[in-house]
Amino acid sequence: MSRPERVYRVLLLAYPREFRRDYGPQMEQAFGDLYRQACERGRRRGIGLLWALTISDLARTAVEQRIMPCADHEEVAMYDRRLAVVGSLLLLALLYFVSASLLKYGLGIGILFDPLEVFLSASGRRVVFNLVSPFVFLGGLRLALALNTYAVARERKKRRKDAREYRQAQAEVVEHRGRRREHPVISDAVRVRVPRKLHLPSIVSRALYSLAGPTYIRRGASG
Amino acid sequence: MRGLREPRDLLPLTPAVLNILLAIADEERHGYAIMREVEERTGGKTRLGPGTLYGSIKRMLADGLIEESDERPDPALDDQRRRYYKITDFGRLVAGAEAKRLSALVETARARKLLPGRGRTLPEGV
Repeated sequence: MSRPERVYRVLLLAYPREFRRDYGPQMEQAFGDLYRQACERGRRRGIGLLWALTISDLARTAVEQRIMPCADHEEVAMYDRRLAVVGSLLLLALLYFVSASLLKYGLGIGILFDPLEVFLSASGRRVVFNLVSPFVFLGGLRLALALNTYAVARERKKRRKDAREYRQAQAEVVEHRGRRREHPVISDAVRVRVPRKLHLPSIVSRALYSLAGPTYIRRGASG
Repeated sequence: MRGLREPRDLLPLTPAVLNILLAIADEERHGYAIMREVEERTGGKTRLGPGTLYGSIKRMLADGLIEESDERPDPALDDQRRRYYKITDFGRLVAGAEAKRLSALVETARARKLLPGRGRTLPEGV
């Protein structure tokens, strides 16, 4: 194996483990073929172009492969996105009220507070900030947390289901020409990511993920 | 789920997916052969990187557009690690539907004088 091929093998670590397991050897082989072809065509320019193509391709597709498992189920992704929008709006509203109050009464800056005068009279603002906002704050916070907890629970349930399907699919994998090959009928189940046990950091990261929302919704066969 | 799918559900195809389907429409090919075919057919204008190729293949296998081939065209001359891919009947339907869609776009472009009429060629540089 030549040095560029070894470098490419290291670069493949950017892809998820499952993807590397299924396609890593083929990608290495394809890169090796491309490298030999580039050497034959014109040494420096050809190799430079090959590396440029490879790096840009790798940067784009590695990110894509890492995001894709999150958007494998379109309906879930769409639902989660709506959930994320509601959660984000709630948190933004809270953030606005808290920031406006702190800036106005703490630092005397009314950049966020003063625009409320257009909508609310002085007495109205008093009611909002003294009576309503604590309830909005606490209620919104609880609701946002509940939504996030719900999103995490859904994710957990989905992963359990995926794990079950994955184990079933693995049991049905057929041996073909001395290597493991996915049965075409069960390939849908096989491509899901192997679930990991939930732990606190991942719960927090998924809660944040539910706020940011899955933005990649698969539309047909993607490239 | 896959059995209930209509070809139009997968449209529009990405350029990579369409090029791969075209590359294996007439014969089975392995990954590198698909890259070569696409590059040669497009005169070097489209080059698929390994990540794009195998990312697309992964999705196409899942969507039932292609499948791994059981046969090897010439086992004696071939590396055993290579996997060959062939288009499925569903893949043909989807590729056909995409070709029809693109053809309709071309006809629209012709009707609006963005392209010359049938039998005429584009001027140099277009």
